Amino acid sequence: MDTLPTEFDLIVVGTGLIESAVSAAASRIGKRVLHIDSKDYYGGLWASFNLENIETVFSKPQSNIHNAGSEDVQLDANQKKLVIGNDLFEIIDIEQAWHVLEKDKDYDSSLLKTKDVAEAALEVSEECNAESVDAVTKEVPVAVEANAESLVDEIQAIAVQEAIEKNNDVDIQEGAVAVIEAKENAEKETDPVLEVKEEFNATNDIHVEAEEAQIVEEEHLNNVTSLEVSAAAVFKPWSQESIMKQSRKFNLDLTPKVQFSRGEFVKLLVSSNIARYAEYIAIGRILTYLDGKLIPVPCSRSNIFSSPHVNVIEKRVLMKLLSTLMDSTDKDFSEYDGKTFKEYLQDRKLSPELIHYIVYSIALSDDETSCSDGVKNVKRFLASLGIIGQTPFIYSMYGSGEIPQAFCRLSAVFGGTYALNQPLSHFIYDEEHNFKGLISGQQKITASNLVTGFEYAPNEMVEKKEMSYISRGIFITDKSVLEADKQKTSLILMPSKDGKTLCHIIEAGHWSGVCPKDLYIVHMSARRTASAKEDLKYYVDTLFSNDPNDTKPNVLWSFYFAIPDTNDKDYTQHNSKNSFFCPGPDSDLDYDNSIQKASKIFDEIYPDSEFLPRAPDPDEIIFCDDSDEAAEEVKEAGAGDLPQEIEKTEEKQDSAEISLN
Amino acid sequence: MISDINTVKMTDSVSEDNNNLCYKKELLFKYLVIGDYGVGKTSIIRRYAEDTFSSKYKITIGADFAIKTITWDNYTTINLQLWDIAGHERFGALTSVYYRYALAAALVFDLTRPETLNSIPKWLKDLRNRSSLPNGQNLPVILLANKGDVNLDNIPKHLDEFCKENNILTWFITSAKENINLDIAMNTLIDYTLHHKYYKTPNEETQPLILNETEKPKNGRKRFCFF
Repeated sequence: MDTLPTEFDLIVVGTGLIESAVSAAASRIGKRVLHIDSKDYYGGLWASFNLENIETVFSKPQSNIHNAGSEDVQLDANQKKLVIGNDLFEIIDIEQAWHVLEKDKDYDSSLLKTKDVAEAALEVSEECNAESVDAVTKEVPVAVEANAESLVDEIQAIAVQEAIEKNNDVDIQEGAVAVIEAKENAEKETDPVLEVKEEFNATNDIHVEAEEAQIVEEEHLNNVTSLEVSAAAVFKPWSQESIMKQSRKFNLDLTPKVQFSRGEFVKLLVSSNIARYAEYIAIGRILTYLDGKLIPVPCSRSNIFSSPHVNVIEKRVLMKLLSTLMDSTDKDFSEYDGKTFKEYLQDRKLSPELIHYIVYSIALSDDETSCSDGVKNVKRFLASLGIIGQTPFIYSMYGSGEIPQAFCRLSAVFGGTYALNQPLSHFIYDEEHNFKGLISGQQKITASNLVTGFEYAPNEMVEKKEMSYISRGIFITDKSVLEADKQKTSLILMPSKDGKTLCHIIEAGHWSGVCPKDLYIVHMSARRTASAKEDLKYYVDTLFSNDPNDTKPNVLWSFYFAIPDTNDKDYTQHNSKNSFFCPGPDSDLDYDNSIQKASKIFDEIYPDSEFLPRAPDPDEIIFCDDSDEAAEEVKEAGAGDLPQEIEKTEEKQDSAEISLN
Repeated sequence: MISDINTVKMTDSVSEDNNNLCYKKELLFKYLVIGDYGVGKTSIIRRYAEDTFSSKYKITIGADFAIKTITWDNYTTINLQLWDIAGHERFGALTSVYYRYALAAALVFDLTRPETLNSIPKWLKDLRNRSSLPNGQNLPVILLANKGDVNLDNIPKHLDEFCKENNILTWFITSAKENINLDIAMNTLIDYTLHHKYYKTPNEETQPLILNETEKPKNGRKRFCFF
C-alpha cells in the first residue's frame, strides 16, 4: 500500500456525520484534506452494519489507540505528543441476544434430540414467567393447528418450565393443574423431568444430556398426537442460521435518524447536490400509544379528516389550533413563559386525546417541554408536511449510515484523500497549544487545522464531567407493530409511562433496504437513566410479545447499547485555536442540529467561504486535455467556482431551487 | 440521476411496424473501473467515453462517472456509466455509493509497475464483500493490463491462472493512449450483462425517493392554505 502524503491543509479524524460534512465542505473549496479513521468502515458512531459485522465489529471493545512505530517519529524541540482517544468516551451496556433456535433443522421434530434444542428450550423457559406459561398452554390447540413444528419447542419449554416451578413449589399438583395437557405427562414421567431440573439447578449449567431431552421430547410428541394434529408446517420459523444467511441484507444503524423533508439538512443536501448520493423512503405514518393501543397520529390534512380516532368536533378544533400555531409569533405566547406546552394546550380546553397527539407526536415533545419549544417544534413539523407522503419525515434508504458516506464521497470526488483502518497513535501540539500534525504508524502527517470526532480527543483536552448517554435498542422482528394494507415505514413516538421522556422508535422493512423480506427492524432511542435494557423495557414489553400466536411481533434478535450524548454539553477543554472537536450523535430525531454544528466549525476555519456550494453534475464537467494549463485548471477546480462548469449549471441551479420553494 | 439505475426499466416504446410489435430498449448500466493510483483508470474512461487522451490527469476532481451512449443493435441503446474511484479513495476506502447498483467491474493494473497487479486481489476482495448483482451473485469482472503501448516485454505469465483462481472472466492488454482493446474489453462485460439480464431489478415495489427536481409541491398549491 502507498504511504500517505504528509502535508495537508486540514486533517479530519473520524468519519462521523459532522466530521464528514466538514471534510466535504473543505474539499469542495479546494483545500487539501486528509480524512482518516482508525476504523475500517465509514461513519464511526453514525455507521450502519450488516448483521454479522455488528456482532463482530461493534460488540468488541472499541479502541482507537495504536502505538506501534510511533516512538520512531522525530518531533521538533517544542512539540509534544498527545495520545489519541480518551477515557471519558465509552460505549456501554452492550448486550446482544438471539431469541430463536440456532439451526433450521432444530425446528424439525425428528431432530429434536439435539443439545441445542434442549438449551434453547431452557432459555425460553427462563424467560417465561408462570403467568405466560398459563396463557401459552391454553393456546396450545390453536398453536398446533397453526404451527405444529414450533409447538413442539413451545411445549417442551413449558414442560421444563413447569418442572422448574415444581421444584420451587413443593406442591406438584398445584403446578400441574394449570397445565392440563402436561399434567398427565408430569404424573407419568415425574422422575426424568425432575432429573432435568435437578441437573439444571445443581450445576447451574444450561446443558442437558441428550437422553433427558429425548424423554422430554417424547412426551411432547405424545401431546401432539393426542391432539390429532397434522404435522404439516404452515410457516417455517426463523432460525439464527436462516437469518444469518442473509446477513448482508441488513443495514443496522448505530444512530437511526429521520429527516424533515423540508428541514435545514435536506435543504442543504439538495442545494449542495449531495442528494444525488442519497435515496430516501417516506415515513408512511406516525404512531403513538394511547389507551393501550397503537394509533396512527392524524397529522396531515387528509389524515385528520379520515382518522376514525378523532371525532368531527375534535377535527375542527385540531385544524384550528394547528392553523393558529402556524401563524403565531413569539409574542402570542408571552404569558406562557416558564410554562409547558402541555399547559398551554390544556388551557385551550382540548380533549386529552388531542393533547396526546399534539404534545407527543406533532410537537415531538414531552410533558416538560416549554411552551416556546413546543410551538417551535409544531411549526417545524407543519413546514415539512405535504411534501412527501403523509408525514413530514423521510428515512435514508439502506440505513442512516449512508448519510456520512454521501459526504465522504463528495469530499473524495473533490480531491479529499481517504484512509480508513489507519494506525493512529498521537496528535502533535506545540507549546502554544497549536495543532501541528498527527502520527499514523511511523508517519508524521502535518496540517494547519484539525477536525476530529470527540471520541478521538486526547485526555488532556477533555473535561472530566459526568457523561450523559442515549439508550439504544435494535430489534429484528417477524411482523410489523401494526399491520397495514400497504408497506409503511413507521415512526413511533411513545411517551414514557410518566410522560417525562419521549422514546423515538423507527420501524422499517425490506423495502427500506435495511433487512431481508418478511423481517422488520425496530430501532429504539431514549435518554439513558438506568441501563439501555432497563430504560427500554417498558417499550419492548408494550410493543412486542414472546408468544408466536400473538398479534404483536416476536423479537428474533436484540441488541442493546448506550452511546455518549456529547451534544448538549461541551466536554472539551483546551486553548487550541486550530483544533475542532465534533460532537457525536445526539438524541434528536433528525440531523438539523448536527449539520449546523458542522457548518459552524467550517465557518470558524474558513470564514470567507461558502459551506457546501452546489457541486456540478458529471455531465457539466468538461475535461481539459493536452495542455498543462488545462490539467492545472482541473486540479485547481475546487477553489471557488469551478471554471469548467458550463452555463447549464445556472439552469440546473434554478430548477433545484424550484423544488425548495 | 444516479439512482435511476435502481429502477432500470426498459423504456419500451412500442411502434407498429408491419403489424409486428417492435420494442426499443434503452438501458442504463453502471460499471466500475477499479485499480491502484496511476494505473490509468481515468485515461481509460476518458478514451472509451470521449475518445480523448491526456497524460496529465493528476487526480479525478469533481466527476463521479462518465457516460457513454452505445447503440448496441436496432432495438437496444445502452447508457453506460463508468465510475472512477474518486481521486484519493485509494487507501482501500470506497464508499457504498460507489458500489451500489453496479453491474460489472473492470480491474486495472499497470504493466510498467508489476506491483499494481499485486493489489488486484485486495480490490477484488472489497468488491466481492460489498457488492452483488440484484440476484445475489457476484459482479462479472475483467482484468485490464494497461499501458500496453509502453511495455509488452514483461506481461505476467500466469494471468490465465490468476483469472481462473479469482473468478475473473478474462483479461486484456489495453492502451488508453493508443486506444487498444478498450471496446472489446467493455463489450465483453456488456455482452455478459445483456445475456444474463442482470439489469432487471427483481424488486419493483421498492421505489426510493430522489430529492431533486422531481420534488415539487403538487399543483403549485400553497403549502398550508388548508390550515
